[in-house]
Amino acid sequence: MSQKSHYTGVSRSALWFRFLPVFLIACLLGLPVASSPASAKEPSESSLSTEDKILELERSLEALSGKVEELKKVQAPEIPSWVNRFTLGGYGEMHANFGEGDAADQFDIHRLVAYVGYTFNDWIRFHSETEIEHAFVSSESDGEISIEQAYLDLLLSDPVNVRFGRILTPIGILNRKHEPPTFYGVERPFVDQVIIPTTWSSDGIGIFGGIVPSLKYELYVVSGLDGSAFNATNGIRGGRIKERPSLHEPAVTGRLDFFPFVAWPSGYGSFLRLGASAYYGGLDNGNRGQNPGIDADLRVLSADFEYSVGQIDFRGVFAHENIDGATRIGNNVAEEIVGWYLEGAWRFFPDSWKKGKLARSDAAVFVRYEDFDTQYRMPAGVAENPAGDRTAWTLGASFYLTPSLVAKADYQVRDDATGRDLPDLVNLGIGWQF
Amino acid sequence: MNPWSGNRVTGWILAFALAFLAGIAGCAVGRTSVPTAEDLSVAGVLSGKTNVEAVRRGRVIFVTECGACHKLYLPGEYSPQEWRPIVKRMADRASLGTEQALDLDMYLTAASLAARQMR
Repeated sequence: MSQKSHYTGVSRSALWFRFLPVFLIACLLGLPVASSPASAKEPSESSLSTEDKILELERSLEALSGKVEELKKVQAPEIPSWVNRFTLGGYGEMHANFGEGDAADQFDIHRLVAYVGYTFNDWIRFHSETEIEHAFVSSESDGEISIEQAYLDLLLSDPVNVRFGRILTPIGILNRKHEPPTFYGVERPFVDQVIIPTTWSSDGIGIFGGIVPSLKYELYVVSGLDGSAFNATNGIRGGRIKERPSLHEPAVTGRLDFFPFVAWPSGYGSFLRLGASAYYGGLDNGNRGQNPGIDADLRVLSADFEYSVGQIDFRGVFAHENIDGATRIGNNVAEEIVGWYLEGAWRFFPDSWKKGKLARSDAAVFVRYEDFDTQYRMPAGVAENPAGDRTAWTLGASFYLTPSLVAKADYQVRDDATGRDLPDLVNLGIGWQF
Repeated sequence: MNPWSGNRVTGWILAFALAFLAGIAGCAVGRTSVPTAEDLSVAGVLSGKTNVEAVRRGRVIFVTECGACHKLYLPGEYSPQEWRPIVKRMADRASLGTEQALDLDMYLTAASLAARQMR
């Protein structure tokens, strides 16, 4: 997308071209005044101060610029206004995954995503995100094409706005903020795959806005999950309904975000956000209105934070899930599921290296610890599957060629309660957004 | 898994170490590097005609909207001329209204100028 001048929709090259004649005329006018000794001897010129001369020249330039603009309007076809109302974008990530021993090594075009947005007017906006996963889609493959977001925003006021359509369930950090340059590590954290099943979309309607400048909220009524697809080691992940979710047992979900550096501007660091989110709903939902007959409810409570100070970034997530009626679901589903992670990163790329092609580059190393258990508390009489109780260490590096294009590498050490020796993983990847 | 397994204990050590590091880093770096409207006024980048309240609102939008979706790029990382197309593009994506986009642009222009003056 070409860069635009401020709110006019005119490309930079067009702007430069537009003012070229003005510049040439200015040179023709200005050079004699500035350099000719003869002109300095003119009584009318000598009576003007340098500042007056500059002002006079500026007036001439403005007049000429206006005439050139009028001519352009006559000569150049205008870009239709509806074209400028579109917002296009996207992101993608390609990974190479290697594991110890028998673990499969693979190259994976993991995600290719297109954003399309449209501004109907100053207060009605449309946003969408369509994704292809794993490069190929067939009945036998893991690949999928899905619409992860498609919603309308009605911007009514700072405190209350309306959102309608398919939204990102506002739990945790990564579910809403999952473009590869925005997180460390090649793959998303395990907690954000198993405990908070990113990408977790929900269809519904809700409100969002700011209660006070430092406190933002989102609150939605959405389609619920399918409890019959929960299991022992992937928790609630299988319960997402991506096609036509039934509205039999809707859920309520929302979050609050507090920005202390808005409330107290003299805080320490450049950015601090403290978030809390929740989800509550029934689990008797299926695709195309085919409900599985599950009599159970899910409650999710989560807290998260992001803190940047100097060249150091911290982030952490905690999530607790309570499944009331886990016994009736079966599948060795737990009554309680818990997970958390903590991550620290150091952006070490020195300013003295930010020159030439690396002017916008950056680099970081990070460490993340995850502790998550999809079998945290079991219903009476149901034995725990020890494979659900896991920890993971991830150490890695990110190199940002530009802020929107990142090359990543990491090493993961995993453990679970089975006593097995889980293979360590090495991941390489590249990710971008535009 | 044993709650006192090696991985879990090391994980908790990391948690405490990061909390300690965050505290030390915060104190060492000092106050926020996202200047307030008052900071910009003291820096002399706001003319008498500038709507200080709009700059104040622009800072709120910068922290709460930009920082909510991606790393917060500090105002001095881009020139005012570079910020304008970025604000235009991102304002649409973040569902900002026209007035909000103008407030954000005004804040980033002033804050970018102030950061450049200090170099």
